[in-house]
Amino acid sequence: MTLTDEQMLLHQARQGDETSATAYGELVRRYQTAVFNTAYRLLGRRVEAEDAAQEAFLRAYQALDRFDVARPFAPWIKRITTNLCLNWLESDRVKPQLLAAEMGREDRPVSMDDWAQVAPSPEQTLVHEEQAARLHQAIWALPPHFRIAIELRHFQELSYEEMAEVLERPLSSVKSDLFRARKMLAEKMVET
Amino acid sequence: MQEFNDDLLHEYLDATLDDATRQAVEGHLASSPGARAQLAEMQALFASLAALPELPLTTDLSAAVVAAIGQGTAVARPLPRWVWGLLVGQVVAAVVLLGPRWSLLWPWLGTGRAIATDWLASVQLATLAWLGEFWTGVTAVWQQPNLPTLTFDLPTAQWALLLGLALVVWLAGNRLLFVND
Repeated sequence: MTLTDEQMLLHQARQGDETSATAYGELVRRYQTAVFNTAYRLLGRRVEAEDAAQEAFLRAYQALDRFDVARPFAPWIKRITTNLCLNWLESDRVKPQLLAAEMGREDRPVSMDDWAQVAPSPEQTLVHEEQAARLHQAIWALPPHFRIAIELRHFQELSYEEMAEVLERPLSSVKSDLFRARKMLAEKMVET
Repeated sequence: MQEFNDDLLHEYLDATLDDATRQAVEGHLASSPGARAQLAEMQALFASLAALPELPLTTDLSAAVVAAIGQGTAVARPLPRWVWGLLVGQVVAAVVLLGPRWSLLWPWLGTGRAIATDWLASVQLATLAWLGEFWTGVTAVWQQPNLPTLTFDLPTAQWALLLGLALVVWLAGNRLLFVND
């Protein structure tokens, strides 16, 4: 069987020798934006999201011997990040940013410029950026469990059963959270 | 089909309904403008979520992660296969060597068990006696204005037991402290 580039890096990172950290650093570089965005969607603050992403990578490294390298790394690290953010939200380590969600280390308010680098053209960007900012605000206004439900279903594309497994909650409860979260999001998007 | 409700609409959008229920929902949607409006609203939300762009990361986290790993956040290394082979080999060798001698070992094991039982009983009695003395000393402190000097005259094994218990409590306490940083 031929190992993929990612699997080789994972094998190398598990060796525990001096090359491990270098190999793991390469994995971090590959997935740090996705992991950061997972944390950012859940926490609503850039600084905390960066801290959470860093912490998630360290936790994943410590648990690397239990990870099946035949599986893709991205869904696993995103789930670690999600659980970490849920713990932070439940322990009030991160205060909800309902009305003044902040972006940037300077604690400035949400700006359309923050998405300027990711949209294709000036005309399209205006619509996309406004919509993205509104949607982010609406997501951060949700209660933590609803936010997590949206994250797991729409961004990590988990089935209802997988969501229930990750959250260690009954299937009916997870579905109820997801459906109510969607309804609240839709209402907020219409309001704004 | 059960009566149409919001949950069915969500499950329809998530494609988790069986064929019969899905067709029934589609039938209801065809006949209900209100349900179609709900569907359109949800479809618009799904599209917005799918189109949400990723925010660029302005800081490279890899350097900090690698540095933290270098400072001792070591990965738990899996045991190499030969270690498991060695372990199995040791067990097999022990069984092969000790198996034929079992009849000789059994009386010795019985003696050992009796010694252990006696020792545990003596530890139990001594501990109870010590607790009694300790309690007497504590009540004496309450009754007298001057603090008395308590003397402990315990056998070495019991001291070891007490120190061991204290060590366990200390380690468990440290573990809790570090976990909750």
